[in-house]
Amino acid sequence: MFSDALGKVIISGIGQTEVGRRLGVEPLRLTADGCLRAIADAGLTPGDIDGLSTYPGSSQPALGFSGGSVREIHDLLGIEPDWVSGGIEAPGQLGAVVNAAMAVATGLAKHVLCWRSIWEGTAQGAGGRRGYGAGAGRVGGTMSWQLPFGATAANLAALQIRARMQRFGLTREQLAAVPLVARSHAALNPNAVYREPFTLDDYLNARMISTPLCLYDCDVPCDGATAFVVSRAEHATALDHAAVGVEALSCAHHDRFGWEYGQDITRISSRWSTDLWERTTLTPGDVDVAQCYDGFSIFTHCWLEDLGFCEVGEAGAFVEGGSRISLDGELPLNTSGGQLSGGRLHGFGFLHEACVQLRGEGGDRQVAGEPEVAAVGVGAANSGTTAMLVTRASGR
Amino acid sequence: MKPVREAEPGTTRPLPVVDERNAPFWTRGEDGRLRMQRCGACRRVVHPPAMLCPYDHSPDLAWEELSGRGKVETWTEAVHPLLPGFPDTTVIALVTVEEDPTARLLTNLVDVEPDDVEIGMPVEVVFEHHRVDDGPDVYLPLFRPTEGR
Repeated sequence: MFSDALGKVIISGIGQTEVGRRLGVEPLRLTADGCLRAIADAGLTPGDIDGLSTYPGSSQPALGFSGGSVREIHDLLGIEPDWVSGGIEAPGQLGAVVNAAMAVATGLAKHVLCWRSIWEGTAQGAGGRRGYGAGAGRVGGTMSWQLPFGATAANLAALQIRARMQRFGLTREQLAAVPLVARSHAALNPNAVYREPFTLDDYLNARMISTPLCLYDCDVPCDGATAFVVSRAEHATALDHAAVGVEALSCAHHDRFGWEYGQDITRISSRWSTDLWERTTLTPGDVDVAQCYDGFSIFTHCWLEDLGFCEVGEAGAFVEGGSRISLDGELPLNTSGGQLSGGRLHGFGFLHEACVQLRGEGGDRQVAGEPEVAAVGVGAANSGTTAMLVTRASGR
Repeated sequence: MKPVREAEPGTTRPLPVVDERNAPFWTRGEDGRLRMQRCGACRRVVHPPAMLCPYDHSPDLAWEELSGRGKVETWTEAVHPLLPGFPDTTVIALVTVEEDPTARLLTNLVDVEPDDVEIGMPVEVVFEHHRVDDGPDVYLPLFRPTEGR
């Protein structure tokens, strides 16, 4: 391990609520449930928690985007924290966990509760299925450069796919691999939203959202909450399961934040270098399982490249056919079904699944051979990103 | 004839909030000229409009009339769900401007069938006029295949 500071930190507890299109549960209740599960999983009680960290906090740029702020959870669970952090200007969604790790490493807190909850499924249903960009009259800010031309997130992702087709020879058959494999993994995950398998033909004939991006390239708005407890490493011996160590982090945001004003439209995951590997003695070949953000399927391609599993432009060929990224392949990918089939838990789901796999708790979708190293890449250039290597640490 | 037209009948668009910094971009297309910010020091085109040049931090940013020509960097046909009010065929594109190909505009392509769009295709600006009751009218810079290409 490169960082002495990260050696002082473990992920001691994980918690996830039921995930569904519309759970009909009050968002704050969902958040609290996820948090209490993570606290119990860490062998703790709310009274032990002395730090709170969340994304995106009380900011709420879209319907159902935030399900519980630091203040709300502070009050609801009666926590008396020594340290808090919540907000959207972070290295992506997992910035909340990065902040927590730094707080624990520097001694500001012993047990930090981190959560991300979302209720877009219910909120968008109530709002007539309106999501991102909805309800615009005169628009200001970032979206004032997008909405007058009818452009929302899916259109911008489609622009990226087309550019990659032209420059790198990416095909729709290659693009199909990530969503197809994700669905096959979701079939083995009881908590996934969509579990019915589909075929390459289904993909190729699916409804176009914005050419050449189809329905299966888009993740699924849902309700659900995911939480972690980040603790001092010595707490590992008190756990009844393996602790998860944080081997290395990269939070680089080299590119501009705008979707359409990045230096290179084919690279929406914000970093130019794989500096993650300069902070560890591990190499990409040591990774047993990967969890890569898939708000749109093309983001996963970018992450595979940015994490160094293949060269820039080669992700299409890397995933083609799907065998390499399936459960029994050389790099099992998005083993819970990702957000494409599992539901848009907005980044936190990927770290949760990495912990599940490292702890050997994947059930039917458990990667064989007791995985020891997981790579997690979360976010996109418009939100910020975190790349994370996590390992099975001591305990159990 | 100036490259300015009225919006297709029956279509509406969400219009941008016009402020001091972006007004020349959104409201001055009546004469058919594309205006963008350009750095007097390094000559790069800056978009969206800024307070300082992001490349050399010069405050010497001036609005310049550009040729209005550019190239399609990438494009997509928006199919579902189309935002309310948009034409049935809406092609969204990134267009790089002739004077500085690192500056790109998110825009729509018009007067072209989606099947005929190609990356690298030369295009030229055409403004779509939108009447506004409580402020200056808005002229949205759209692009069409360059005439006589």
